[in-house]
This record gives sequence, structure tokens and C-alpha cells, in this order.
Amino acid sequence: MSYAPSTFHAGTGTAYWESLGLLGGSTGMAPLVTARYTIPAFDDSDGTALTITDSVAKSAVGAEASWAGWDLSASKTKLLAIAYVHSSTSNYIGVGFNVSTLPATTLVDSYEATFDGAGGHSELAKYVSGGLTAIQTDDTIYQNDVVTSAVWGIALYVEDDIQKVFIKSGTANWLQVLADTDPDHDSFQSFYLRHYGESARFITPIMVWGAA
Amino acid sequence: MEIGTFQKQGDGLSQETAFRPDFETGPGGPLGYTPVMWESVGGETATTMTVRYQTQ
Repeated sequence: MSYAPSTFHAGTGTAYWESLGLLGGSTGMAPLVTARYTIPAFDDSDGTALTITDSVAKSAVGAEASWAGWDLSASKTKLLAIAYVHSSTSNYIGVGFNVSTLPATTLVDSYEATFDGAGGHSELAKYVSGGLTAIQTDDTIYQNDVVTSAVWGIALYVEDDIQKVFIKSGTANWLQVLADTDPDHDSFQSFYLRHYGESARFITPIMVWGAA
Repeated sequence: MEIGTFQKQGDGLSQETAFRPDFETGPGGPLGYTPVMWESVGGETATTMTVRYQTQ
């Protein structure tokens, strides 16, 4: 068997997103964060720090609500993000889109998708004026917050009044697990990785595509 | 799947205490169990959430 590094990009699920009409064609979606093999330095973070070593951003052991992310080039009304994650013992882990540029400390207005191992479900949630509301959960499939869990993928798609959460486990394809039509936020200026410390890991590819 | 309106629980200050429907206690026709799947269908107020949920 020969090594074919180009096939690694299959992990981004590009063909799948194109098949759903979320990427490519007339979507206007362009890459905004492209951590294919190495993770670029974060623009800002809060809580327990993530240390980047090439393809992995690993948190310290401190247990607290945390995020690290990047500001996008401009406000976007349509976004898709994917990341691979390993909770270790982090209560939860996932990704989110923030309405403004990255906040000084705690999140204020955003949508986020997480594996909430402590709560025992996959979750779609929103911040509105600093208050966090779960808007959908599914107890039947999620990455648990134990060190022996496999690395899973998690993806979040947002556009006006549409939010969709996809996950990927092992060699299976991406699959949609959550979807909602919440009306609270319709444009976004930053993307963040969400975790609770405790040795959580984010692993490439980490990608964000968006359109104005 | 059924639709129901439930009182909110939580204070919204953290993931552990995020606002979510209280399916098990309080007024508003609690189910007595937490559904394995539920989703907001809008109509959220300061004190209640209307959700579609999977019955037990």
C-alpha cells in the first residue's frame, strides 16, 4: 500500500458537504480557517489554555469553561466548521460561531455544538446576551468524556434561521444529528473551539468555510 | 414525537446550568422523565420553552 497524503483531506468531508449543497456550486462558501496539518496560533482565548503542537491543540488540566478561536475576515451570514476532538475528561467539547469578534472573556451571543459527555448527550446551544440555553439535545449518540474515547469529528453549519450539527465517528461518514431553526443570530464574526480544560484535544483538520 | 411547553430550569451561566426545559419537576405538565431527544420549536419565553420531544 502506498502513502497518499492527498487522501487525508477526505477527513474534511468536502465531498459530503458538497453533496448536501452546503459547499461548492453557487454557495459562495470560501475557506476562512484552514488548519489542515498544523493549527495556527489563536487570536484569543479564555479559561484553560490550549497548547498547539503541530496538528494538536491540547488543553491544560484546569477544569473551567474555556474557548480559543479566531476572528473571521468579516461578518458572515453562512458558515460551516469542522474539527476533530478528543474530550479526555473535559465535561464537554465542541465548536461555535460568535456574533461579534472574539469576546474579552465569557461568550455573549453565539451558537455552539458540543459533545456534552458530563450531561450525556450531543448538544446544540446558544448564548443570548450572556445566557446559555440548550436548544436541542440527543442522548443517543455522543462522544463520552472518558480518556478511552476515540477521536470524533464535530461540525456546525449556520445560516439565517438554520443550525445543523454533524458528527463523525471512526471511519463512518459524517452524519447529521441535530438541526434547529432558531432565529436569534444571523451573522457571525468569529469561530471558537469550546472545551472545559481537563486535557481536551482538538486535532486537524480544523476547517471553517463561510460566505457573506 | 410530541410537542409540549415546559418551564425552564437553570441560570444560563454555564454549560452545566444552561437554560433547558424541566421535563421532570414543577408546573406545566412535567413528563416525569427526560426524553432522549428533544428540540426547541420556537415560542421561547423568559420562563418556558416549547419543544418537540421523543416519547418514552
